[in-house]
Amino acid sequence: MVKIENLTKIFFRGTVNENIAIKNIDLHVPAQDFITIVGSNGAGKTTLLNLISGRFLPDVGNIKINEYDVTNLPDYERAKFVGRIFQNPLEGTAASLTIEENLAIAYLKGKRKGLHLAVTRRRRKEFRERLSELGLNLENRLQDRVGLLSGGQRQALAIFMAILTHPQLLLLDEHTANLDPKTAQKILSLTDKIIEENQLTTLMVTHNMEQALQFGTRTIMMHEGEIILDISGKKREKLTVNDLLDMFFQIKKEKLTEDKLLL
Amino acid sequence: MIGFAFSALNEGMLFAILALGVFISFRILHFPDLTVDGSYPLGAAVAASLIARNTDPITATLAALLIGGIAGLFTGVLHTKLKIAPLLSGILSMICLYSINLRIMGKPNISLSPYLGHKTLITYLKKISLPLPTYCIILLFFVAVVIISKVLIDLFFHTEIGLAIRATGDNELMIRSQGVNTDITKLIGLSLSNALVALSGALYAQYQGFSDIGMGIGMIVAGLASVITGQALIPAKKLGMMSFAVITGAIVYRAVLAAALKWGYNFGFKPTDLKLITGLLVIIILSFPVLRSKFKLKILQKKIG
Repeated sequence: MVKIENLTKIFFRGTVNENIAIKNIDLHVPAQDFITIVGSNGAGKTTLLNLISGRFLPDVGNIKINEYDVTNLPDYERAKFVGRIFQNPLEGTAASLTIEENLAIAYLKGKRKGLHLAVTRRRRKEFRERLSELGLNLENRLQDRVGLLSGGQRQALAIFMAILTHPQLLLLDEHTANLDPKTAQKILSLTDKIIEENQLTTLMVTHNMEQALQFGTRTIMMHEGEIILDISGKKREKLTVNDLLDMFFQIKKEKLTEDKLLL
Repeated sequence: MIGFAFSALNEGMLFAILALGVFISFRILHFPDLTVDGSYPLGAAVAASLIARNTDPITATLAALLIGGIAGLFTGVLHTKLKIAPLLSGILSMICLYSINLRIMGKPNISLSPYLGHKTLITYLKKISLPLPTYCIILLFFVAVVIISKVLIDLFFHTEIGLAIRATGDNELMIRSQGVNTDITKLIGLSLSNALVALSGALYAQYQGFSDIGMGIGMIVAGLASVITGQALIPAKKLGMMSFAVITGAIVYRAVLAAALKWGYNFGFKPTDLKLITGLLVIIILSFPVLRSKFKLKILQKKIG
C-alpha cells in the first residue's frame, strides 16, 4: 500500500543549523495496517507524515502509494489518496465557513470544481444523513459556522471530512493532543470505529504510549530520524508501556555507545 | 444641495465597486493587495483612451474590466509562482502599472468631452428619455451596476470554485489537504478583485470626463476605509450581508469625505488636503475599537473604584 524507500529529509541543508530530520527510512505499510508511531520530541514523527502527505518534499528516497510514485507530487495532488488530521483542531476546518460548506469542500476533494452551487439540496441531504451516524448532533447545525464549534467537535468534523471521500491512507498527527482527556478519549474511539468500519490504512502519531499500544495493529518507535523499533502481532499484544520504555532506553544506550565508539 | 447629494451618492456607488474589489482581496483572500493604486487608473486609462479613439463605451468599459483582471493576475503570478511576499507583489505591480498607464494614455491625462465628440456611457444615459431628471438616471445606472456586481459576487462565492477561494483565505493548509491548488484560487481571486477595481476606474473616468495618471494615489486606502467602515456599521458574518456592508461603508465613507470637502474650508482645509483627510478618517475608523474599549474600561473602573 505505502512503500517508503531510503527516505531522507534535511532541514537548513548546508548551514550551521543543518538538521537531519529523517535518516534513510524504509517503511512498508500493507493495506489495512493501522500503525501507531511513538517517539520523543524531534524524533521525526511529524516530518515523516509531512513527507508522506507532500507538505515537504524529501531530499533523498521515494514514496509510493499503491505502486504509484508520489515522491515529487505536491500536497494538493496527493490529497486524492491521503486524508489528514492535524494536531491543532483549528487547522483541519475553515472557521468562517459553515459546516455544510466545509463538508462540500471535502465532498469535492479530487473532483473537478465548476461554477455550480457548492451546497446543493441533494448534497445537504446526504451530509445530514451521514453526519447523523456520528451521533454528535452536528446534522442539525449544518448552517452554523465552524468557528462556533468546540475543539472536539471541530476535530470530529475534520475526521468526518477526511474520510468522506474514502482516502486510501489516513494520517493522524497527534490529533487528540490539544483536547481535554475526556474529549480526547471520545475522539479516539470515534477514530478507531471509523478506521475499522472503512478498513482504512492508517498512520497515527501519538505521544501517549498507552494509546500507541491500545490502538492499531502495529507500533513503530522513532528516534533521531530513524525507526528504531517495529513491532506487530503476538509480540505486540503482550507488550506493556514499561516494556516499551525499557526497549527505548536499551536501544538509546546502545546507540550512544555506538556513537562514542565512532568518536 | 441636491446636486451635492447626488454627486456624493454617485461617487459612493463608484467607490462601492472599488470597495467590493478590495473586499475580495483583503477580506476573502486575506491578501493585502496594493495593486489597486495601479489597476484603478489602469481601468480609467484603458476606457478613456479607447473612448478617445471613438470606441463604443460599453466595449471600452468591458476592455478595462478585462485588463484590470490581467493586472491582478500579474500580481498573483509574482506571489504564487515567484514566491514574492503579498505586499511586495502588489507594490511591484503598482509601480509597473504607473508606466504602463502612461503608455496606454500616451500622455498624463485624457479629457473626455461631448464637445470633442467623445461618446461615454454618460452620453448614452443622457439620451435616454425617461420622465426622470438626468442625474437620477445616472444614479440609477450606477446603483444597477453595484447591485449586479454584488449579486454576481455573492453567487460566485457560493459556487464550488468560489468556496475553494474563500477557504484559501481562511485556512490554506486545510484547503490544500483537501486537494485544492491554492495558486489557482489566489490567481482567480486577485484577478476578479482587480477587474472590479478597474471597472470602477473606467466608470469614474467617464463620470468625471477625464482620466489622470495620478487618480490612483491612495485608492487602496479609500477602498479599505470603505470595507472597514462597512464592517463597523454592519458587523455581518454571512457573505451576502458582508458585501452589503461593504457597499454601505463605501457610500457612508464617500458622504463623509464629500462633507469634509464641502464644509472643510470653514476649518481651514483646502482641496489639496483631500488625501490628508482621507488618511485621518481611516486612522479614526481603525482606532475606533481601541478607543472604545479604553473608554469603556475607564467607565468601568470608575464604577468599581
